[in-house]
Amino acid sequence: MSNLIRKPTLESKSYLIGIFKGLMITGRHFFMNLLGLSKRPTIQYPEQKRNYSSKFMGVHVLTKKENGEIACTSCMLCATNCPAECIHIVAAESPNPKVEKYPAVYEIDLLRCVFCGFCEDACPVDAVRMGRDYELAELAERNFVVGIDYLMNRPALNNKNISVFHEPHKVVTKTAVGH
Amino acid sequence: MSDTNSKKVKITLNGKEIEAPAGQNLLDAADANGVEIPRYCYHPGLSVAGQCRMCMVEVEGNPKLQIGCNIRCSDGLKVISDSEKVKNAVKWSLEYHLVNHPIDCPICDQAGECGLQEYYMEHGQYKSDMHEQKVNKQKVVDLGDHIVLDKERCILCSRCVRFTQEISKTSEFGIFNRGDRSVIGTVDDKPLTGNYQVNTVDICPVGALTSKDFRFEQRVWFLDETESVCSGCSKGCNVFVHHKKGKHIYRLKPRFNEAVNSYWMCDKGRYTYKDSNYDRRLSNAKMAGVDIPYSEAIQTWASDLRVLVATERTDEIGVWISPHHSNEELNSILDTFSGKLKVTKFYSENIEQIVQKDESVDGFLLRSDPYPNSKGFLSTLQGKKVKTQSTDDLIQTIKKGGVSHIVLICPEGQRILPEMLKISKVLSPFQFVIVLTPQLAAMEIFSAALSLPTLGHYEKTGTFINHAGIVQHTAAGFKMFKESHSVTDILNDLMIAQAKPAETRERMAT
Amino acid sequence: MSHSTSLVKKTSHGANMRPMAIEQQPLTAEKRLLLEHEHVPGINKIDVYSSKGGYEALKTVLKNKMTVDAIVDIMKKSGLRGRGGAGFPTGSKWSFVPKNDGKAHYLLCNADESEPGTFKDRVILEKLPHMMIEGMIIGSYAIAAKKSYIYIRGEYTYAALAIEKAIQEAYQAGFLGKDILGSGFDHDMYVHRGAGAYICGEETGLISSLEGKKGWPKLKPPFPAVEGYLKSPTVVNNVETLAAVPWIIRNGPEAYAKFGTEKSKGTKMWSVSGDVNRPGVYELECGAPFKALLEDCCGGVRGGKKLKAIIPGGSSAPIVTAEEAYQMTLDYESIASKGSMLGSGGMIVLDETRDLVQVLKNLSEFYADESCGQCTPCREGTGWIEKILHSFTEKQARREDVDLLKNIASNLQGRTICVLADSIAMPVESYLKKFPQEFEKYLKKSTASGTRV
Repeated sequence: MSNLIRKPTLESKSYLIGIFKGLMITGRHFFMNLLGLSKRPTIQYPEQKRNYSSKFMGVHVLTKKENGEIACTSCMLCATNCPAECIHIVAAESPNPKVEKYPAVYEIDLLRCVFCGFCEDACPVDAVRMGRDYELAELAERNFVVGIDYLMNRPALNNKNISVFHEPHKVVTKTAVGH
Repeated sequence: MSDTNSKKVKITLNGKEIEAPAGQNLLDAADANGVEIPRYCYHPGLSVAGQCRMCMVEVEGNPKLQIGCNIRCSDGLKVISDSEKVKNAVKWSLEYHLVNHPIDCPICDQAGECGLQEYYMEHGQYKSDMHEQKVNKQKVVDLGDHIVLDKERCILCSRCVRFTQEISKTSEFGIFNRGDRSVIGTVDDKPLTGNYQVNTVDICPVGALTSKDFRFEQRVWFLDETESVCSGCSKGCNVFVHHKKGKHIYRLKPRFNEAVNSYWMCDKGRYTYKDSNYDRRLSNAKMAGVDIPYSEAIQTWASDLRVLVATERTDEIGVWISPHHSNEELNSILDTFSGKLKVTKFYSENIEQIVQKDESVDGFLLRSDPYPNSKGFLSTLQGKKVKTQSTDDLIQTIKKGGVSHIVLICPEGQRILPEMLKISKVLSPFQFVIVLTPQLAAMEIFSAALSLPTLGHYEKTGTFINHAGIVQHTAAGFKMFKESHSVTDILNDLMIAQAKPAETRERMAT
Repeated sequence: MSHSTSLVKKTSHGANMRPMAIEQQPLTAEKRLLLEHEHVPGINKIDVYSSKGGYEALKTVLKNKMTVDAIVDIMKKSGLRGRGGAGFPTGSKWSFVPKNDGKAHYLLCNADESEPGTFKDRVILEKLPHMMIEGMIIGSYAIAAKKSYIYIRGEYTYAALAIEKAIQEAYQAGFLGKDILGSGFDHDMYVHRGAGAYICGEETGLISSLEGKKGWPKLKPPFPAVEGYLKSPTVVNNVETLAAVPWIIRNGPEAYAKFGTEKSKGTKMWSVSGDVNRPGVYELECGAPFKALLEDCCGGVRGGKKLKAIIPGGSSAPIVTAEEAYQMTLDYESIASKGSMLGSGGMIVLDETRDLVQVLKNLSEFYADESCGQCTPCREGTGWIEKILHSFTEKQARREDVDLLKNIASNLQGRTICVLADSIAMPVESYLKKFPQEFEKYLKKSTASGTRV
């Protein structure tokens, strides 16, 4: 075993050189940052925000039909597909006689959610999308279980979350999906 | 099936020689030998219609494809069901089925157990050539208390029509119009009547007929399946219990048993699950309405029993029982109370009279005896040489002060509650009442008593004897509440606790 | 039946309801066996009919106490084939009925002549009802049927009235009722009027309709000869077939078999419509050249135009091009060799100006409307074909639609209980095969690109 233990070299014995080298690096960065001469890796959050990739998946969005009704038909394919089992849907007869089924309750437990986006892939009517919001801070655990009101009508969405499936001019190109 | 005689014939199916009873339907013979020939309109419990044209097969000696459902097994029959020609025919038959189908699977309750979906995966054309406007028909037609009809989804297999003609004999369904405007319906969309409506939902291969009770409740792929026997009457129809992880029962479906219920069950029986469901169930042991641990409840009961045994007052024990329990539970009740504790006061309804008067209510399945195990009850009592007195006798005895320790082993269901109410009215603080019940309602009646949750009917393991003397076995597939136990287990724990109190406490603590 | 009688009376007073006019004297190309006395005034009355040898055949049969086998033998020797469309030998059909089985037997006369282009039976029903009734009584005797029904097309009001009258006369003359002509044979005959469904002209559809059910064809087996009307042995014969029976009995099977070709014996009535100078009903010997019918009987194509195609045997028969038609003789085999069928003998002549896509679209509308809706392929397929053909005429067709039509048609054939699906599938296939240029014309005009909505 003893041959495995290396004898200390001269350089490692004279540790003051190492300390000095380290202090030089620290000092250089200190002054460069102080004088604004280098590119800083940090930003002034929350005044400044980063640009995320277009593929970024944040808090879910429930889309609407053009008349403002929820687009979801509560087929529960998202809940079926969800690996974290964080989607809870209670289906019911819609108050609109032209619509058969709608979700009376649509809840996502954001603490359980792993933001994989499988729900978006599973949805046959473009009713659930992965949004771009990521600032999740709440005071209580129960507040992370969000319902239809938050998912569909939160101010950040600006009422722009109209389902592709329910825009007539886009449906035309979509009819090629099987029968 | 019943119309086949026992003589066996040899037929060749896909080059393999198989044996089948002479005259058996080819589809049944194929099923029995593990070859699935697709079908929509054929149902073994109904007459042959030959409408869906899915079960196309090649028969030797016939250049045209034949429908399998109209072929009876005879010696030397040679059938091919997996040739390219047949596969192409099935593919196109399915394509024709889908031409005017709305494909609204996301909102269809049948999705997951739909014949169209199943065969589409197996025989589908995948890329549809149908680019024309589909025929639109009426959706969400209300057909009474149990059924919703969607005429667009219907593939007009006529199973429901034949069911109402041949089985329920109500002849309510019919096919109106002709060509691709044909629709299933009742005259003027009149509501359905009778006690066998929901069977049409079971046999509907698509989502045209759906049950109101199950409407939008759950997607079927979330459901687990447990085999059981219906608790609604002495017929003992075989059922599948569909539940989600044992926590919530969603529906009952009939399970084939030729000797008992064939493919059918009545609507009354179908809804017996509601009494077994989580929202009507007692989930915890309670003492005077307050939740207590199960072990503590057993100890409380056992300590009272110990006093009675020590002072030789076991004749003050009265036990009320019913034929809602399995033979094993009844045996353990009688072993415990009659055998070990020498109790003589047993009370129940007049089961002998109920059995004597038992008859078919509607000439089909439903019977007048509301208990699933009356025959078993009588034979168990006879075997143990126990006689029961009536509930009125119990009330009289309570009034006279003849009993101080009353054990009520309640059945499931609403039917018994008025009788329980009568007993509760004559009770006084001098009686120690123990209620063994799966139901919240029974516990609420005896609010001052010690209540122990038992298993719901569809969670039980045991045997039940139906009106015809057929012994049927049920196997537990789930347990809804951790704190609920079978009557047998409760009485075992009680006897252990009564004999060796300290040890039991240790055992239960671990 | 009383219900249907009252219906006839209510609607039969119309002045413009006349029997069909056909040529008074037989043309040289014609060979009139059934229509021999058609032009005799009052031939629809029993006394006139009797004076022309009517009911002689029935008397021969009943007075001589001919055995059932003897009659069937005569029919077999005559080579008479069913004139309704399928061409099944009549003698064989009668011989399939089980003997002495203790069940009631029925003879049904299929007078539900609804095939577009076919109107030959109407002449017999309106002008020679007694001939058919006589044939029916003989037929009933041959299959030991105590009751027979005439299922007549609902629209044939005048014909129904004529038949009802003739039956009354036959009862009065003792040819119907109890103990006919002292032979001990009892027979009753009823008229049942249809309600306007094409499918009720199909053998088993007719039986269902007569039973009071929806006119859905029945699964075979069991065949009607074993289990038909009210689950009893039943024979369904066409009007023309039954009308030929008295002639054969009277003149002997050899005399009938002298006419026609080796396999198609006797004469056939043709109802010619379309672009000809003299449309109408003509009776020709089987095996006569097509030209004799077109030129000599019908006076050639109307307006001196060129012939484009003919549909030889009612609208469900595949189309035959002009060249093929001129090579063709009028018998079962020759027409079959041109890829079509003799069918009911309802010939539709199309001249060079006709647009065959429009013709086919028109036919597809008929069959989509008349599909009974029992079998899925027919119910959905006929409607699908109609919609695709509509897209052709609406200039919305895609190039793939031609292949799609072929696919749909080939997968309709032989996949259903009855042959209604084949009745549109076969024309679609033949039109696409023989006249692809007609469809090409529409494809060039089409403005559709990609997927239609």
